[in-house]
Amino acid sequence: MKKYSYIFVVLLLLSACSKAYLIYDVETNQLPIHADYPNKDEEIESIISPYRDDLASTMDKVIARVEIDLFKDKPSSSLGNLLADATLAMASEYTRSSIDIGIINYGGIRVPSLTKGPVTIGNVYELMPFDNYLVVLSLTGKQVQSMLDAIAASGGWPVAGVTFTIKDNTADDVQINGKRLHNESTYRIAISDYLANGGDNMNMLKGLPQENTNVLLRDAFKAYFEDFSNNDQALPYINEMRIIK
Amino acid sequence: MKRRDFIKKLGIGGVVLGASTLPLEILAGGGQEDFVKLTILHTNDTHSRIDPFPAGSKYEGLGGMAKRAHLVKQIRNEEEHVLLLDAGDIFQGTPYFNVYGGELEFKLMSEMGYDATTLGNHDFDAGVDGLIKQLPFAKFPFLNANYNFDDSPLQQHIQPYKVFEKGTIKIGVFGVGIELEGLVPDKLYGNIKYQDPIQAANSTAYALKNDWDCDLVVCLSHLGYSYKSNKVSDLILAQTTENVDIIIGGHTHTFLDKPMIVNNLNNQPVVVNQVGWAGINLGRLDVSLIKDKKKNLKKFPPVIFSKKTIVK
Repeated sequence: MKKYSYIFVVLLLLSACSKAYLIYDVETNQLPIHADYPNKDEEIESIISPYRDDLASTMDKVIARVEIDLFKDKPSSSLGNLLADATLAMASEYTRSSIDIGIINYGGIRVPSLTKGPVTIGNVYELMPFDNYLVVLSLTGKQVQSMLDAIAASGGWPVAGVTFTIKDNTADDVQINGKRLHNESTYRIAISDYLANGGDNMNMLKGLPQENTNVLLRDAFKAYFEDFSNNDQALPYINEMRIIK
Repeated sequence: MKRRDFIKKLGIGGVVLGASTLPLEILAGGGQEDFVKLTILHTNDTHSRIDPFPAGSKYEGLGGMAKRAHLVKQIRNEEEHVLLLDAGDIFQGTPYFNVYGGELEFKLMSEMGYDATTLGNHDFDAGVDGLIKQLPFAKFPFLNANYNFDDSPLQQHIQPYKVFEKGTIKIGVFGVGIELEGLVPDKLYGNIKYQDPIQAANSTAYALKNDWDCDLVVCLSHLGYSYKSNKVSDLILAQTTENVDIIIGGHTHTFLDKPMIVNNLNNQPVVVNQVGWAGINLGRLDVSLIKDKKKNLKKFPPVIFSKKTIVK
């Protein structure tokens, strides 16, 4: 412990109450657990060990494969397209209903790429460490436009079911399933509860009724990936530019 | 420096204190048997960080429960009276929680001899049922004084406070939690009703000091250290209560260079501390108490008489 510096604050506290004992002073330290802290408690280590090994075997389980490197990028990318497609498809499956648009926030994908080779459960946790739920929103065309404008303003996020062009930081020429967006129509959006609750500048979605699939986005991705390997397919490489800048 | 040496030195006049009203003769007059030292070790927001942070992360190599346990054991070997406390958010943050639901976190904390914790918002991430399922692995109490559990199955599992006796002193520890509405999905916390933490802290701390005759009252808080808004926080709690001596906080993952000293309603100092998160740090408060033989210490105002950095 010699190498650590401690901040020492010594003060005198005199309690107002007349108890058996009074606080005389309090010395305060903060003890950092550094990377080079040399010792481990063996009993604790022996309790962790089987969990760690079991976790590794779970996390190392291969659930899919990638044949062409998938990258995350703005305004559109192969990894973004895959995950937005997964969001839309799984929301449709879990709610047994048709979904028009799938949205993921760019910052919600926590790895830069899925490279050629096996995809493990651990990779899916790295991709999506947050326990966000997959939810469905019903939006008017006007609300969809406002949401897409915010996505355009941040340079483009992964989307499925919709295409548009970023023009003056807004979404122009919005097409949903190849049809022009209608302000009065209702559209069903698959999205994370994090965004639906207004996260990442999605203020316009805050307070709107949510249909919760009660499935974590991570588990939805996992299930979507497994569908491909069950059919002996690699994860699809979709290089289309759904958002044009 | 050992406490008694320090006091002796103080009595002889080896430390210049300036124009304070410190009752030197009273302090110097006490025999060794009149002083008790309590070491409080604490964590907050450990967030399932069982192993040190992995390579490539911002906090690479920091933390780890086996290392923390070793440090705690070492301090227990050196100190007679130790309390090990936590301020909530034990759950969520690594696949250990996603896969095992929190049982490993509780098992390890029990093995390390944690004396108490409070409920953080993330401790509801598997729902009330998910928490109850793991409670058999926790050999330490969950303290909360400001949630109403009357209509929750958690009722029989949570207590507002616990009184610890260490040597000849009594320590009252209680917990307060953050407003869950808007923070935790409704269905996860069920029928737990949030009540004003300031009121709860005041009445609980009063009872601990006056009915239980506690010499020291410690609040485990998951309110958060401070906010830009007037939302209730540890700093506000410290200012608006009495009978609370120490607040061990959490929720905001605040790293402090040193604890904040805040004056309470009676102008008495309260120590407010928080040690970041994920078990990156272990907090340590060494509280020295003196027997109030002459019943007159209380008329002297508190004086902060030393602030220094030393290398052990």
